[in-house]
Amino acid sequence: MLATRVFDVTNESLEQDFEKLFHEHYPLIYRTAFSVTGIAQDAEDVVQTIFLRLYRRRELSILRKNPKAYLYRAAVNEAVSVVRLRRRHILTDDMAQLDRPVAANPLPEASLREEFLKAVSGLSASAVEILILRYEHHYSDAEIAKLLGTSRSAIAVRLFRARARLKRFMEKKS
Amino acid sequence: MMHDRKMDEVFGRFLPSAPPEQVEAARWRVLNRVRDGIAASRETAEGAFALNHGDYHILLALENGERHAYAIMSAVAELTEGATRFGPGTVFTSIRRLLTAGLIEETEQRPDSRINDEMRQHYRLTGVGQRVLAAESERLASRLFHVRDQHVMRPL
Repeated sequence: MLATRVFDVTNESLEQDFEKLFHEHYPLIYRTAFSVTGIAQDAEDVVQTIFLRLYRRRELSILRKNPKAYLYRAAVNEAVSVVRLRRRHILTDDMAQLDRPVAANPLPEASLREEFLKAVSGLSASAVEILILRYEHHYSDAEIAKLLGTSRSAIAVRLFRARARLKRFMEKKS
Repeated sequence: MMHDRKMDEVFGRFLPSAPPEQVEAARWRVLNRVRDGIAASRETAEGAFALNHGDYHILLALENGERHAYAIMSAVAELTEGATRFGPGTVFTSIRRLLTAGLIEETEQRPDSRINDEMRQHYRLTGVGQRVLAAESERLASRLFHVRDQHVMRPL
C-alpha cells in the first residue's frame, strides 16, 4: 500500500539505530535474562519482549543517554516477573499432580539449583540487578556504580544487603 | 570476608550462566522475532492512524482545496450528513496531529492579514496527505465490497 511505503522511508534511520542498539547490548541482556530464569526459551522471550517494548514506546531518544542501564534494568525486571509467573503456574500444575506417585528422591543438585533460582527471584529487582552484575558479569563495585548511576559506597551497602537477604532466604528454606 | 567467599561459591555453583555459543546461537533468532514484531506493530499503528474516522474526514474535506478550521468543521458535517461533527477543540487536536504527521500543512494566505486568529489559518493537503487519503479510501472501499459479499448489510 502506498501509505505504508511513505512511512517506511521516514522510519529507516530509526530502524538502523534500533538494530545497532540491539547488537551492541544483546549479549549482556541475554546472559542476564538466562541467569535469572535459567531457561533458554525464557531468556529469548525476555530479550524479545524488552526490545519490542522499547521500539513501540519510541524511547530511543531517552535511551541515547544511558541505553545500557535502561536495557539492563528492563531485562532484570522482566526476567524476575517471568520466573514469578512460572512459579505460580508450576504451583497449580503440582496441585493437579498431587495424586500421582512422587519420585523417591529428586536429584539434590538440581533441587538446590531450583531453590537458588527461587530465592533470587524472590528478592527485589534492585537486589537482583546488583547480584547479577557482580556474579554473572563480574563487574567491580565501581563499574556497577557507574552503570546504575550511584556511588561506590552505596553499591557496597546494597550488595551486602542483597547477599544477606539471599542467605537468609536460603537458610529459611533448608 | 569468609561470608563473601562462601557466597561467591554458592553463586558460582548455582547461578545459571549462558555459554557464548548459546548466546550467539539465539542472537539472530531473537532479532528476527523482534523484526516480525515491529512489522506487525507498524501495521497496526498505521491501521489505527488510517482508521481514525475524524482525521480521514478532515483529509477528505481538504480534497477540493484549502480551507480554514471552521470551513473544515462545516464540510465534515456536510460530508457525513451530520453523523460526524467536530467541536472547535477536537478539530484543532486533529489538525495538529495531521500537521505533525505531515499530511496537511498551513498555507501562507490569510483572507485578512489584520485578523490573526487560529480559526482563520488555512490548511491544505500535502503530497503525502493526498496519497494517504487515496490509499485509505481504497482500503475503505475494498472493505465495503467485502462486507457486501458477506451479506451483512441490506442491499444499497
